[in-house]
Amino acid sequence: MKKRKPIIEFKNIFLDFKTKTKIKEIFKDCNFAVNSGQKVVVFGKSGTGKSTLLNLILGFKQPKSGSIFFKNKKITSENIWHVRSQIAYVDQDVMMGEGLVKEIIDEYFSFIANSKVKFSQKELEKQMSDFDLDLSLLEKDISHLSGGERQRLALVVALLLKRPFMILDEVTSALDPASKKIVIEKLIKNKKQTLLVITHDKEWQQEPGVKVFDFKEKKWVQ
Amino acid sequence: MGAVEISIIGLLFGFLLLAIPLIISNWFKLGMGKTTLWSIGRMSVQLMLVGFFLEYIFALNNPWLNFAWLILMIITAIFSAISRAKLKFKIIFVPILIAFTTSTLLILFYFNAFVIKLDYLFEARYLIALGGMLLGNVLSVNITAVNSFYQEIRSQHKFFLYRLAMGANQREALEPFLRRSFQLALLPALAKTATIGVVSLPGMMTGQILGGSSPATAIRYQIAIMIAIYTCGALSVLMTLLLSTKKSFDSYGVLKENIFAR
Repeated sequence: MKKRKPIIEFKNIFLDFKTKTKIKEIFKDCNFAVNSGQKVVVFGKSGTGKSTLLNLILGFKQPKSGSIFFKNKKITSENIWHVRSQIAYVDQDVMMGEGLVKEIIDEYFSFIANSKVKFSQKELEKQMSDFDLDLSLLEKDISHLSGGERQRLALVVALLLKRPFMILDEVTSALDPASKKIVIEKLIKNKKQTLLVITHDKEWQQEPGVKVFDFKEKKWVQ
Repeated sequence: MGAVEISIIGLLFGFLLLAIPLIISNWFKLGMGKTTLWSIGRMSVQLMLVGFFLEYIFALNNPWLNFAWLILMIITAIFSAISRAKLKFKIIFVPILIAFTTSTLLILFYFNAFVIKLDYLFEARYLIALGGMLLGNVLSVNITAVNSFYQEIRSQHKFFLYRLAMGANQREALEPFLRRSFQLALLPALAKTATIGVVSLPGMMTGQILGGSSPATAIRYQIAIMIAIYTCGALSVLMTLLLSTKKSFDSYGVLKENIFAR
């Protein structure tokens, strides 16, 4: 039997929340795992609580019952800070702050948890050109960037952090078809990195080796 | 030499001036007549009562009584701040209590001991009058700071969570929000400070000059008290914000949803 190495694992997760009219169950005894190196796409209608999946992994929400494991260790309020530093997270219309782009990037790398991560100017330039971003953007105020540019900039920062696990929430929905293709291919190509993508975009599922999870039915379909 | 006494008749002439705003209100149907009379009336009664107490307190000049009066002022400021802060009592009470009390007492006694060099640190005139000036500012800057801080974290929650996801510890995640609420609370007063002497003559200086002090003395007091007010405001905001964060974020570093009043 092949030995599984889960990077993230949900065990018997229950979570619901009250809307005005009823109690909505998002997770009912849910078991879900992503193994190291896997590329996983999660899809499902909006309003089914897909983003809750990410909020649980990042410790922004806690399940009513059940446990979440990161590399076989139960996530707690003590180790969540370390867990977060192992996950590169980008969501749709990401808010990175205010000011000059290069200063914003520097600030994120000045966090104590990231202080050991270094990137060279060459790496930065390579990543930016891979994502079709002009180097002059670094000197601009972030408010002058388009939505698509901000989205790709966040992806560049996420890759420069060199974290083993990347979580993306609808990051390609705002991109035009050409840059969408570039971004998807680039992210799938990285063999070592584990990838968890929440998306409506069918393009992701067409990539070879991608596993697909139907969030509404809570089952693997590919 | 003191200021010329205002007689009862003189004061009545003062009240007569109110006819002007009342006529304006009536003319433009501002509906402010009642509020004007209520506010001015309330102020007059409050001041008469305070004046009565202060006469008594100044005459006795008892250190315990003076200090007790100061504490009463601080407590009033604390409850006034809490009623205007948009956070629940149990979240904000202890931070405001500690911040207001320590910052005011610390700066006030430093001021009286090293700036004015009072022989008798509990001298009623200095303790109560200067304490009141510090507290008035502490009250307003803390309300601005605390309300803007939590409102910005709530309205920019995505940005805040992104910072946590990027690996920020609690303090790192809060940094831009701390920075902004400090600026919002302290910059307006600083801008006003910079125009003092040109655009406006501050109340304390005017009062001292009317009371018979030389402009040179009044100016020194004014400079020193402006610095003390600014410092006291900054110190109290720092303490209120940092202490309040201990209770308003869960152990995962996320803003609790149930901290807001109403």
